[in-house]
Amino acid sequence: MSVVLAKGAEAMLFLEQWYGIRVVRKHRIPKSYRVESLDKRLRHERTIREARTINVAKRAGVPTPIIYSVNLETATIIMEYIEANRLMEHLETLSSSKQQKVFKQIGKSVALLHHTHICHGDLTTSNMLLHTSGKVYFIDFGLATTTHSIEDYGTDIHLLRRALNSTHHTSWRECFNAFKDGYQNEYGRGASRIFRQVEAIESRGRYITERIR
Amino acid sequence: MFVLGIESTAHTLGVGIVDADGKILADVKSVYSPTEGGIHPREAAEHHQQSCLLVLKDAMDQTGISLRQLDAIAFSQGPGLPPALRVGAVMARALAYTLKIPLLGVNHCVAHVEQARFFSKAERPLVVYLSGGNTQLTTLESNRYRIFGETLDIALGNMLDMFGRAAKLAHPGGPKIEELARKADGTYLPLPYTVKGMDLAFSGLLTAAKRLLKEGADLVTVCYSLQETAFAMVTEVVERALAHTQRTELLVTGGVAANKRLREMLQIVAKNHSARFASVPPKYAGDNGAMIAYTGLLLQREQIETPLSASHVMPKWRLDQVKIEWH
Ligand SMILES: Nc1ncnc2c1ncn2[C@@H]1O[C@H](COP(=O)(O)OP(=O)(O)O)[C@@H](O)[C@H]1O
Ligand SMILES: [Mg+2]
Repeated sequence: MSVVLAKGAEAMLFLEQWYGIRVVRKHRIPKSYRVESLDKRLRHERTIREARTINVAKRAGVPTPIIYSVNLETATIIMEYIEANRLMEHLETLSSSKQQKVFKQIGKSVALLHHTHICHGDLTTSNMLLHTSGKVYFIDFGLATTTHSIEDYGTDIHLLRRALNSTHHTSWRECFNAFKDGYQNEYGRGASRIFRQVEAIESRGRYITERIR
Repeated sequence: MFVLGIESTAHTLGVGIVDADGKILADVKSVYSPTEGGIHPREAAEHHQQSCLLVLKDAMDQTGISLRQLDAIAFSQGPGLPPALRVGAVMARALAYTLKIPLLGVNHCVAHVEQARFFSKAERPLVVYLSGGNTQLTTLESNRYRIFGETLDIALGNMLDMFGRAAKLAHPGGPKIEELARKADGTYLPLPYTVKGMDLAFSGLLTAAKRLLKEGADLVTVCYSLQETAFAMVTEVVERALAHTQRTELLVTGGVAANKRLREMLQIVAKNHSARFASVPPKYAGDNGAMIAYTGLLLQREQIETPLSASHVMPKWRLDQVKIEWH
Protein backbone atom coordinates (compact mmCIF):
# COMPACT_ATOMS: atom_id res chain seq x y z
CA MET A 1 0.00 0.00 0.00
CA SER A 2 1.39 3.36 -0.97
CA VAL A 3 -0.51 6.61 -1.38
CA VAL A 4 0.80 9.97 -2.38
CA LEU A 5 0.80 12.14 0.71
CA ALA A 6 2.10 15.30 -0.87
CA LYS A 7 3.89 16.66 -3.89
CA GLY A 8 6.34 19.09 -2.39
CA ALA A 9 8.67 21.44 -4.22
CA GLU A 10 11.58 19.07 -3.97
CA ALA A 11 10.14 15.72 -3.20
CA MET A 12 7.30 13.29 -3.59
CA LEU A 13 5.98 12.00 -0.27
CA PHE A 14 4.25 8.67 0.09
CA LEU A 15 2.36 7.20 2.99
CA GLU A 16 3.32 3.52 3.29
CA GLN A 17 3.51 0.45 5.47
CA TRP A 18 7.03 -0.45 6.54
CA TYR A 19 7.51 -3.61 8.61
CA GLY A 20 4.07 -3.17 10.06
CA ILE A 21 4.15 0.53 10.82
CA ARG A 22 2.87 3.52 8.94
CA VAL A 23 5.69 5.62 7.57
CA VAL A 24 6.38 8.48 5.20
CA ARG A 25 8.73 7.83 2.31
CA LYS A 26 10.26 11.07 1.09
CA HIS A 27 11.81 10.75 -2.33
CA ARG A 28 13.79 13.64 -3.75
CA ILE A 29 13.03 13.34 -7.41
CA PRO A 30 15.50 14.26 -10.17
CA LYS A 31 14.88 17.67 -11.67
CA SER A 32 15.18 17.70 -15.43
CA TYR A 33 15.78 21.45 -15.61
CA ARG A 34 19.23 21.30 -14.03
CA VAL A 35 22.53 19.71 -15.07
CA GLU A 36 22.59 16.07 -14.00
CA SER A 37 25.72 16.24 -11.86
CA LEU A 38 24.42 19.28 -10.00
CA ASP A 39 21.07 17.60 -9.54
CA LYS A 40 22.69 14.48 -8.11
CA ARG A 41 24.91 16.48 -5.80
CA LEU A 42 21.99 18.49 -4.40
CA ARG A 43 19.69 15.54 -3.83
CA HIS A 44 22.48 13.55 -2.23
CA GLU A 45 23.61 16.42 0.02
CA ARG A 46 20.11 17.29 1.12
CA THR A 47 19.14 13.73 1.90
CA ILE A 48 22.16 13.38 4.17
CA ARG A 49 21.56 16.76 5.74
CA GLU A 50 17.92 16.11 6.39
CA ALA A 51 18.47 12.72 8.00
CA ARG A 52 21.36 13.90 10.12
CA THR A 53 19.85 17.16 11.26
CA ILE A 54 16.44 15.73 12.13
CA ASN A 55 18.19 13.45 14.62
CA VAL A 56 20.32 16.19 16.12
CA ALA A 57 17.26 18.42 16.41
CA LYS A 58 15.32 15.68 18.14
CA ARG A 59 18.13 15.20 20.65
CA ALA A 60 18.08 18.94 21.29
CA GLY A 61 14.42 18.67 22.27
CA VAL A 62 12.71 19.81 19.07
CA PRO A 63 9.79 17.60 18.00
CA THR A 64 10.73 15.94 14.68
CA PRO A 65 9.82 12.64 12.98
CA ILE A 66 11.96 9.58 13.76
CA ILE A 67 14.23 8.59 10.88
CA TYR A 68 14.00 4.85 10.13
CA SER A 69 16.06 4.44 7.04
CA VAL A 70 18.01 6.39 4.43
CA ASN A 71 18.92 5.42 0.89
CA LEU A 72 21.42 7.79 -0.65
CA GLU A 73 21.39 6.10 -4.04
CA THR A 74 17.74 6.93 -4.55
CA ALA A 75 17.73 10.02 -2.29
CA THR A 76 14.99 8.52 -0.15
CA ILE A 77 14.24 8.82 3.54
CA ILE A 78 11.82 6.66 5.45
CA MET A 79 10.51 8.41 8.53
CA GLU A 80 7.80 8.40 11.14
CA TYR A 81 4.39 9.53 9.92
CA ILE A 82 3.17 12.45 11.99
CA GLU A 83 -0.59 12.52 11.99
CA ALA A 84 -1.07 16.25 12.20
CA ASN A 85 -2.23 19.33 10.34
CA ARG A 86 0.10 21.55 8.39
CA LEU A 87 0.29 24.83 10.23
CA MET A 88 0.00 26.68 6.93
CA GLU A 89 -3.62 25.63 6.37
CA HIS A 90 -4.47 25.36 10.04
CA LEU A 91 -3.18 28.61 11.54
CA GLU A 92 -6.15 30.76 10.55
CA THR A 93 -8.59 28.31 12.15
CA LEU A 94 -7.03 28.85 15.58
CA SER A 95 -8.08 31.48 18.07
CA SER A 96 -5.63 34.30 18.47
CA SER A 97 -4.52 33.10 21.92
CA LYS A 98 -3.96 29.59 20.58
CA GLN A 99 -1.95 31.02 17.68
CA GLN A 100 0.27 32.83 20.09
CA LYS A 101 0.80 29.73 22.21
CA VAL A 102 1.83 27.85 19.10
CA PHE A 103 4.30 30.54 18.06
CA LYS A 104 5.77 30.77 21.53
CA GLN A 105 6.51 27.08 21.24
CA ILE A 106 7.96 27.56 17.75
CA GLY A 107 10.20 30.29 19.15
CA LYS A 108 11.42 27.93 21.82
CA SER A 109 12.17 25.20 19.27
CA VAL A 110 14.05 27.50 16.92
CA ALA A 111 16.11 28.78 19.86
CA LEU A 112 16.93 25.17 20.74
CA LEU A 113 18.04 24.59 17.15
CA HIS A 114 20.21 27.70 17.11
CA HIS A 115 21.70 26.78 20.48
CA THR A 116 22.73 23.50 18.88
CA HIS A 117 24.19 25.56 16.00
CA ILE A 118 21.57 24.38 13.51
CA CYS A 119 19.77 26.67 11.10
CA HIS A 120 16.67 25.09 9.63
CA GLY A 121 17.02 26.98 6.36
CA ASP A 122 13.35 26.93 5.33
CA LEU A 123 11.22 28.02 8.26
CA THR A 124 7.72 28.33 6.84
CA THR A 125 4.37 27.15 8.12
CA SER A 126 4.33 24.45 5.43
CA ASN A 127 7.25 22.83 7.22
CA MET A 128 5.55 22.73 10.62
CA LEU A 129 2.91 20.20 11.65
CA LEU A 130 0.52 20.92 14.48
CA HIS A 131 -0.42 17.77 16.39
CA THR A 132 -3.73 17.56 18.27
CA SER A 133 -1.65 17.40 21.47
CA GLY A 134 -0.60 20.98 20.70
CA LYS A 135 2.93 19.94 19.86
CA VAL A 136 4.51 21.51 16.77
CA TYR A 137 6.68 19.14 14.72
CA PHE A 138 9.41 20.49 12.47
CA ILE A 139 10.06 18.79 9.13
CA ASP A 140 11.93 19.37 5.87
CA PHE A 141 15.52 19.83 7.05
CA GLY A 142 17.09 19.50 3.60
CA LEU A 143 18.35 23.08 3.60
CA ALA A 144 19.59 22.96 7.19
CA THR A 145 23.14 24.07 7.99
CA THR A 146 25.47 23.78 10.93
CA THR A 147 26.77 27.22 11.72
CA HIS A 148 28.12 29.49 14.43
CA SER A 149 27.29 32.72 12.66
CA ILE A 150 24.82 35.23 14.06
CA GLU A 151 24.10 36.32 10.48
CA ASP A 152 22.85 32.81 9.70
CA TYR A 153 20.61 32.67 12.78
CA GLY A 154 19.30 36.09 11.84
CA THR A 155 18.59 34.93 8.29
CA ASP A 156 16.71 31.90 9.61
CA ILE A 157 14.45 34.18 11.66
CA HIS A 158 14.11 36.67 8.80
CA LEU A 159 12.84 33.85 6.57
CA LEU A 160 10.20 32.92 9.10
CA ARG A 161 9.12 36.52 9.58
CA ARG A 162 8.83 37.06 5.84
CA ALA A 163 6.95 33.79 5.37
CA LEU A 164 4.48 34.93 8.03
CA ASN A 165 4.19 38.35 6.50
CA SER A 166 3.52 37.03 3.00
CA THR A 167 1.32 34.03 3.82
CA HIS A 168 -0.48 34.98 7.02
CA HIS A 169 -0.80 38.71 6.63
CA THR A 170 -3.75 39.15 8.98
CA SER A 171 -2.11 37.74 12.09
CA TRP A 172 1.59 37.81 11.38
CA ARG A 173 2.60 40.53 13.83
CA GLU A 174 1.10 38.88 16.89
CA CYS A 175 2.49 35.52 15.82
CA PHE A 176 5.95 36.93 15.28
CA ASN A 177 5.91 38.71 18.64
CA ALA A 178 4.93 35.47 20.37
CA PHE A 179 7.74 33.72 18.48
CA LYS A 180 10.17 36.35 19.71
CA ASP A 181 9.03 35.83 23.30
CA GLY A 182 9.47 32.09 23.07
CA TYR A 183 12.84 32.45 21.42
CA GLN A 184 14.17 34.97 23.91
CA ASN A 185 13.02 32.93 26.91
CA GLU A 186 14.84 29.88 25.65
CA TYR A 187 17.92 31.43 24.10
CA GLY A 188 18.55 33.84 26.96
CA ARG A 189 21.51 36.19 26.72
CA GLY A 190 22.49 36.84 23.15
CA ALA A 191 18.97 36.69 21.75
CA SER A 192 18.78 40.46 21.43
CA ARG A 193 21.93 40.45 19.33
CA ILE A 194 20.33 37.98 16.97
CA PHE A 195 17.16 40.05 16.65
CA ARG A 196 19.28 43.13 15.97
CA GLN A 197 20.86 41.12 13.16
CA VAL A 198 17.39 40.34 11.78
CA GLU A 199 16.70 44.07 11.68
CA ALA A 200 20.02 44.68 9.95
CA ILE A 201 19.31 42.02 7.31
CA GLU A 202 15.91 43.53 6.60
CA SER A 203 17.00 47.15 6.64
CA ARG A 204 19.59 46.47 3.97
CA GLY A 205 16.60 46.87 1.72
CA ARG A 206 16.71 44.54 -1.15
CA TYR A 207 17.69 47.11 -3.68
CA ILE A 208 21.42 46.78 -3.60
CA THR A 209 23.02 49.22 -5.94
CA GLU A 210 25.72 47.77 -8.06
CA ARG A 211 29.04 47.83 -6.31
CA ILE A 212 31.92 49.40 -8.06
CA ARG A 213 34.75 46.91 -8.24
CA MET B 1 -6.44 60.60 -22.21
CA PHE B 2 -2.64 60.47 -22.46
CA VAL B 3 -0.15 59.72 -19.69
CA LEU B 4 3.56 60.36 -20.04
CA GLY B 5 5.97 58.30 -17.93
CA ILE B 6 9.61 58.94 -17.09
CA GLU B 7 12.03 56.21 -16.03
CA SER B 8 15.41 57.11 -14.51
CA THR B 9 16.21 54.67 -11.68
CA ALA B 10 19.53 53.33 -12.99
CA HIS B 11 21.12 53.08 -16.47
CA THR B 12 18.07 54.03 -18.49
CA LEU B 13 16.51 57.40 -19.09
CA GLY B 14 13.22 56.49 -20.74
CA VAL B 15 10.06 58.31 -21.75
CA GLY B 16 6.88 56.47 -22.65
CA ILE B 17 3.39 57.62 -23.52
CA VAL B 18 0.22 55.55 -23.24
CA ASP B 19 -3.39 56.26 -24.09
CA ALA B 20 -6.48 55.58 -21.97
CA ASP B 21 -6.41 51.87 -22.83
CA GLY B 22 -2.77 51.46 -21.91
CA LYS B 23 -1.72 51.26 -25.54
CA ILE B 24 1.88 52.38 -25.99
CA LEU B 25 2.12 55.36 -28.35
CA ALA B 26 5.81 55.95 -27.81
CA ASP B 27 8.65 54.40 -25.88
CA VAL B 28 12.03 56.04 -26.26
CA LYS B 29 15.15 55.56 -24.20
CA SER B 30 18.79 56.41 -23.88
CA VAL B 31 20.98 54.01 -21.93
CA TYR B 32 24.08 55.03 -20.03
CA SER B 33 26.91 52.58 -20.40
CA PRO B 34 29.87 52.97 -18.04
CA THR B 35 33.23 53.16 -19.77
CA GLU B 36 34.81 51.16 -16.97
CA GLY B 37 33.59 49.27 -13.89
CA GLY B 38 30.04 49.31 -12.58
CA ILE B 39 27.49 52.06 -12.71
CA HIS B 40 28.71 55.39 -11.32
CA PRO B 41 25.56 57.10 -9.98
CA ARG B 42 26.79 60.60 -10.75
CA GLU B 43 27.82 59.72 -14.28
CA ALA B 44 24.45 58.05 -14.85
CA ALA B 45 22.71 61.21 -13.63
CA GLU B 46 24.82 63.32 -15.93
CA HIS B 47 23.92 61.10 -18.85
CA HIS B 48 20.24 61.40 -17.98
CA GLN B 49 20.46 65.19 -17.74
CA GLN B 50 22.08 65.42 -21.13
CA SER B 51 19.68 63.08 -22.88
CA CYS B 52 16.35 63.78 -21.18
CA LEU B 53 15.13 66.57 -23.45
CA LEU B 54 16.09 64.73 -26.61
CA VAL B 55 14.34 61.57 -25.44
CA LEU B 56 11.27 63.59 -24.44
CA LYS B 57 11.18 65.33 -27.81
CA ASP B 58 11.60 62.06 -29.69
CA ALA B 59 8.77 60.45 -27.75
CA MET B 60 6.43 63.40 -28.27
CA ASP B 61 7.22 63.50 -31.99
CA GLN B 62 6.36 59.82 -32.34
CA THR B 63 2.91 60.31 -30.84
CA GLY B 64 2.06 63.36 -32.86
CA ILE B 65 0.30 64.93 -29.89
CA SER B 66 1.38 68.11 -28.14
CA LEU B 67 2.46 68.50 -24.54
CA ARG B 68 -0.80 70.38 -23.87
CA GLN B 69 -2.75 67.25 -24.69
CA LEU B 70 -1.13 65.24 -21.87
CA ASP B 71 -3.36 64.45 -18.90
CA ALA B 72 -0.79 63.37 -16.32
CA ILE B 73 2.94 62.96 -15.76
CA ALA B 74 4.24 59.79 -14.10
CA PHE B 75 7.81 59.22 -12.93
CA SER B 76 9.71 56.46 -11.16
CA GLN B 77 10.02 57.68 -7.63
CA GLY B 78 12.08 54.68 -6.46
CA PRO B 79 13.78 52.41 -5.76
CA GLY B 80 17.01 53.34 -7.44
CA LEU B 81 20.13 55.46 -7.40
CA PRO B 82 19.37 58.83 -5.81
CA PRO B 83 21.22 61.06 -8.33
CA ALA B 84 19.65 59.23 -11.27
CA LEU B 85 16.18 59.27 -9.71
CA ARG B 86 16.37 63.00 -9.12
CA VAL B 87 16.77 63.76 -12.81
CA GLY B 88 13.47 62.06 -13.66
CA ALA B 89 11.77 63.63 -10.65
CA VAL B 90 12.86 67.16 -11.56
CA MET B 91 11.76 66.68 -15.13
CA ALA B 92 8.37 65.29 -14.05
CA ARG B 93 7.74 68.04 -11.53
CA ALA B 94 8.60 70.74 -14.05
CA LEU B 95 6.28 69.25 -16.66
CA ALA B 96 3.37 68.67 -14.29
CA TYR B 97 3.73 72.14 -12.80
CA THR B 98 3.89 74.03 -16.09
CA LEU B 99 1.17 71.98 -17.77
CA LYS B 100 -0.96 72.11 -14.58
CA ILE B 101 -1.68 68.40 -14.70
CA PRO B 102 -1.39 65.71 -11.99
CA LEU B 103 1.98 64.27 -10.98
CA LEU B 104 2.05 60.51 -10.32
CA GLY B 105 4.88 58.87 -8.34
CA VAL B 106 5.34 55.30 -9.51
CA ASN B 107 7.22 52.47 -7.83
CA HIS B 108 9.65 51.07 -10.41
CA CYS B 109 9.18 47.43 -9.33
CA VAL B 110 5.40 47.71 -9.38
CA ALA B 111 5.70 49.14 -12.91
CA HIS B 112 7.68 46.13 -14.17
CA VAL B 113 5.08 43.79 -12.69
CA GLU B 114 2.08 45.75 -13.97
CA GLN B 115 3.45 46.03 -17.49
CA ALA B 116 4.15 42.29 -17.60
CA ARG B 117 0.64 41.60 -16.37
CA PHE B 118 -0.81 43.92 -18.99
CA PHE B 119 0.92 42.08 -21.83
CA SER B 120 0.34 38.55 -20.53
CA LYS B 121 -3.25 39.11 -19.40
CA ALA B 122 -2.42 36.81 -16.49
CA GLU B 123 -5.12 36.83 -13.81
CA ARG B 124 -3.36 35.86 -10.57
CA PRO B 125 0.24 35.08 -11.47
CA LEU B 126 3.26 34.29 -9.39
CA VAL B 127 5.58 36.99 -10.72
CA VAL B 128 9.33 36.50 -10.98
CA TYR B 129 11.13 39.78 -11.40
CA LEU B 130 14.77 39.40 -12.40
CA SER B 131 16.80 42.45 -13.31
CA GLY B 132 20.08 44.20 -12.69
CA GLY B 133 18.89 45.66 -9.39
CA ASN B 134 16.12 43.32 -8.26
CA THR B 135 15.44 39.62 -7.80
CA GLN B 136 11.99 39.01 -6.37
CA LEU B 137 9.19 36.46 -6.27
CA THR B 138 5.82 38.01 -5.62
CA THR B 139 2.07 37.58 -5.78
CA LEU B 140 -0.71 40.05 -5.24
CA GLU B 141 -2.66 39.24 -2.09
CA SER B 142 -5.08 41.57 -0.28
CA ASN B 143 -3.97 44.75 -2.06
CA ARG B 144 -0.26 44.27 -1.79
CA TYR B 145 2.45 42.52 -3.76
CA ARG B 146 3.66 40.08 -1.11
CA ILE B 147 7.28 39.08 -1.45
CA PHE B 148 7.88 35.37 -1.08
CA GLY B 149 11.51 35.26 -2.01
CA GLU B 150 14.31 37.60 -2.98
CA THR B 151 18.06 37.92 -3.05
CA LEU B 152 19.90 38.28 0.24
CA ASP B 153 22.86 39.99 -1.38
CA ILE B 154 23.18 41.03 -5.02
CA ALA B 155 20.63 40.81 -7.82
CA LEU B 156 20.93 38.12 -10.50
CA GLY B 157 21.54 40.60 -13.33
CA ASN B 158 24.09 42.48 -11.28
CA MET B 159 25.95 39.23 -10.59
CA LEU B 160 26.08 38.39 -14.30
CA ASP B 161 27.31 41.87 -15.20
CA MET B 162 29.99 41.78 -12.52
CA PHE B 163 31.21 38.44 -13.79
CA GLY B 164 31.16 39.84 -17.31
CA ARG B 165 33.43 42.67 -16.24
CA ALA B 166 35.84 40.30 -14.50
CA ALA B 167 35.95 38.25 -17.71
CA LYS B 168 36.47 41.44 -19.73
CA LEU B 169 33.29 40.91 -21.73
CA ALA B 170 31.47 43.85 -23.29
CA HIS B 171 28.87 45.58 -21.13
CA PRO B 172 26.23 44.39 -20.30
CA GLY B 173 27.66 40.98 -19.48
CA GLY B 174 24.42 38.96 -19.25
CA PRO B 175 23.72 38.51 -22.99
CA LYS B 176 27.39 37.89 -23.71
CA ILE B 177 27.56 35.14 -21.06
CA GLU B 178 24.45 33.57 -22.56
CA GLU B 179 26.02 33.57 -26.00
CA LEU B 180 29.26 31.97 -24.75
CA ALA B 181 27.43 29.39 -22.62
CA ARG B 182 25.57 28.21 -25.70
CA LYS B 183 28.89 27.07 -27.18
CA ALA B 184 29.73 24.83 -24.19
CA ASP B 185 30.25 21.09 -24.54
CA GLY B 186 28.32 20.26 -21.37
CA THR B 187 31.29 20.12 -19.01
CA TYR B 188 30.00 21.43 -15.69
CA LEU B 189 32.38 22.77 -13.05
CA PRO B 190 30.89 22.57 -9.53
CA LEU B 191 30.10 25.98 -8.03
CA PRO B 192 28.52 27.13 -4.74
CA TYR B 193 24.75 26.87 -4.74
CA THR B 194 23.01 29.03 -2.13
CA VAL B 195 19.29 28.78 -1.55
CA LYS B 196 17.69 29.69 1.78
CA GLY B 197 14.02 28.86 1.74
CA MET B 198 12.73 31.00 -1.11
CA ASP B 199 15.68 33.40 -0.84
CA LEU B 200 18.88 33.35 -2.82
CA ALA B 201 22.44 34.57 -2.47
CA PHE B 202 24.76 35.06 -5.42
CA SER B 203 27.96 36.58 -4.10
CA GLY B 204 29.60 33.27 -3.13
CA LEU B 205 28.87 31.96 -6.61
CA LEU B 206 30.34 35.08 -8.22
CA THR B 207 33.54 34.86 -6.17
CA ALA B 208 34.01 31.18 -7.01
CA ALA B 209 33.38 31.72 -10.73
CA LYS B 210 35.89 34.56 -10.81
CA ARG B 211 38.39 32.34 -9.04
CA LEU B 212 37.96 29.65 -11.70
CA LEU B 213 38.80 32.22 -14.35
CA LYS B 214 41.92 33.29 -12.49
CA GLU B 215 43.00 29.69 -12.24
CA GLY B 216 42.85 29.48 -16.01
CA ALA B 217 39.59 27.57 -16.56
CA ASP B 218 38.04 27.81 -20.00
CA LEU B 219 35.81 30.89 -20.27
CA VAL B 220 33.04 29.12 -22.15
CA THR B 221 32.91 26.33 -19.54
CA VAL B 222 32.83 28.85 -16.68
CA CYS B 223 30.04 30.87 -18.34
CA TYR B 224 28.05 27.68 -18.80
CA SER B 225 28.60 26.49 -15.23
CA LEU B 226 27.79 29.91 -13.82
CA GLN B 227 24.53 30.14 -15.76
CA GLU B 228 23.50 26.60 -14.98
CA THR B 229 24.11 27.12 -11.26
CA ALA B 230 22.51 30.55 -10.93
CA PHE B 231 19.47 29.67 -13.02
CA ALA B 232 18.96 26.34 -11.24
CA MET B 233 18.87 28.30 -7.96
CA VAL B 234 16.26 30.69 -9.35
CA THR B 235 14.23 27.86 -10.84
CA GLU B 236 14.29 25.96 -7.57
CA VAL B 237 12.93 28.85 -5.53
CA VAL B 238 10.33 29.50 -8.20
CA GLU B 239 9.26 25.88 -7.92
CA ARG B 240 9.10 26.20 -4.15
CA ALA B 241 6.99 29.34 -4.47
CA LEU B 242 4.66 27.65 -6.97
CA ALA B 243 4.18 24.70 -4.62
CA HIS B 244 3.71 27.08 -1.69
CA THR B 245 1.26 29.52 -3.29
CA GLN B 246 -0.49 27.00 -5.57
CA ARG B 247 -0.70 29.66 -8.27
CA THR B 248 -1.41 28.42 -11.79
CA GLU B 249 0.29 31.19 -13.75
CA LEU B 250 3.99 31.99 -13.79
CA LEU B 251 4.97 35.37 -15.17
CA VAL B 252 8.59 36.40 -15.72
CA THR B 253 9.80 39.95 -16.13
CA GLY B 254 12.92 42.12 -15.82
CA GLY B 255 16.01 42.29 -18.01
CA VAL B 256 17.24 38.75 -17.26
CA ALA B 257 13.85 37.38 -18.40
CA ALA B 258 15.20 37.69 -21.94
CA ASN B 259 17.68 34.83 -21.33
CA LYS B 260 16.57 31.77 -23.31
CA ARG B 261 18.15 29.15 -21.07
CA LEU B 262 16.50 30.62 -17.99
CA ARG B 263 13.14 30.70 -19.73
CA GLU B 264 13.54 27.10 -20.76
CA MET B 265 14.20 26.05 -17.15
CA LEU B 266 11.26 28.05 -15.84
CA GLN B 267 9.00 26.58 -18.50
CA ILE B 268 9.86 23.10 -17.25
CA VAL B 269 8.82 23.84 -13.66
CA ALA B 270 5.72 25.67 -14.81
CA LYS B 271 4.72 22.58 -16.75
CA ASN B 272 5.47 20.28 -13.79
CA HIS B 273 3.13 22.33 -11.66
CA SER B 274 0.49 22.74 -14.36
CA ALA B 275 1.03 26.46 -14.45
CA ARG B 276 0.77 28.62 -17.55
CA PHE B 277 4.08 30.25 -18.42
CA ALA B 278 4.19 33.81 -19.66
CA SER B 279 6.86 36.42 -19.97
CA VAL B 280 7.10 40.05 -20.83
CA PRO B 281 7.91 40.75 -24.52
CA PRO B 282 11.72 40.96 -24.81
CA LYS B 283 11.43 44.55 -26.01
CA TYR B 284 10.00 45.56 -22.64
CA ALA B 285 12.06 43.25 -20.42
CA GLY B 286 14.44 46.03 -19.45
CA ASP B 287 13.69 49.40 -17.86
CA ASN B 288 11.41 51.56 -20.00
CA GLY B 289 9.30 54.69 -19.78
CA ALA B 290 6.17 52.98 -21.09
CA MET B 291 5.83 50.86 -17.94
CA ILE B 292 5.92 54.01 -15.82
CA ALA B 293 3.32 55.66 -18.05
CA TYR B 294 1.07 52.59 -17.85
CA THR B 295 1.32 52.33 -14.05
CA GLY B 296 0.71 56.07 -13.94
CA LEU B 297 -2.50 55.44 -15.85
CA LEU B 298 -3.57 52.89 -13.22
CA LEU B 299 -2.89 55.44 -10.48
CA GLN B 300 -4.68 58.17 -12.42
CA ARG B 301 -7.77 55.98 -12.77
CA GLU B 302 -7.83 55.59 -8.98
CA GLN B 303 -7.07 59.28 -8.58
CA ILE B 304 -3.95 58.59 -6.56
CA GLU B 305 -1.92 61.70 -7.26
CA THR B 306 1.41 62.73 -5.78
CA PRO B 307 1.44 66.31 -4.53
CA LEU B 308 4.67 68.21 -5.20
CA SER B 309 5.37 68.22 -1.46
CA ALA B 310 5.46 64.39 -1.46
CA SER B 311 7.37 63.95 -4.68
CA HIS B 312 10.84 63.45 -3.17
CA VAL B 313 12.66 60.41 -4.52
CA MET B 314 12.56 57.18 -2.48
CA PRO B 315 15.77 55.23 -3.19
CA LYS B 316 14.74 52.27 -1.00
CA TRP B 317 11.03 52.13 -1.72
CA ARG B 318 10.08 48.46 -1.62
CA LEU B 319 7.59 46.67 -3.82
CA ASP B 320 5.57 45.50 -0.83
CA GLN B 321 5.21 49.00 0.60
CA VAL B 322 2.82 50.05 -2.15
CA LYS B 323 -0.93 49.71 -1.60
CA ILE B 324 -2.39 48.31 -4.82
CA GLU B 325 -5.85 49.79 -5.30
CA TRP B 326 -6.53 48.38 -8.77
CA HIS B 327 -7.01 44.72 -9.92
N1 LIG C 1 6.81 12.89 8.60
C1 LIG C 1 5.72 13.42 8.06
N2 LIG C 1 4.50 13.14 8.58
C2 LIG C 1 3.39 13.66 8.03
N3 LIG C 1 3.37 14.46 6.96
C3 LIG C 1 4.54 14.80 6.39
C4 LIG C 1 5.78 14.29 6.91
N4 LIG C 1 6.77 14.75 6.16
C5 LIG C 1 6.20 15.53 5.21
N5 LIG C 1 4.87 15.57 5.33
C6 LIG C 1 3.92 16.31 4.45
O1 LIG C 1 4.48 16.45 3.14
C7 LIG C 1 4.67 17.81 2.81
C8 LIG C 1 5.96 18.01 2.03
O2 LIG C 1 7.04 17.51 2.80
P1 LIG C 1 8.45 18.26 2.91
O3 LIG C 1 9.37 17.40 3.72
O4 LIG C 1 8.23 19.62 3.41
O5 LIG C 1 8.91 18.25 1.39
P2 LIG C 1 9.40 19.41 0.42
O6 LIG C 1 10.86 19.53 0.66
O7 LIG C 1 9.11 18.92 -0.95
O8 LIG C 1 8.65 20.64 0.79
C9 LIG C 1 4.65 18.54 4.11
O9 LIG C 1 4.22 19.86 3.97
C10 LIG C 1 3.69 17.71 4.94
O10 LIG C 1 2.35 18.06 4.63
MG1 LIG D 1 8.42 21.59 2.65
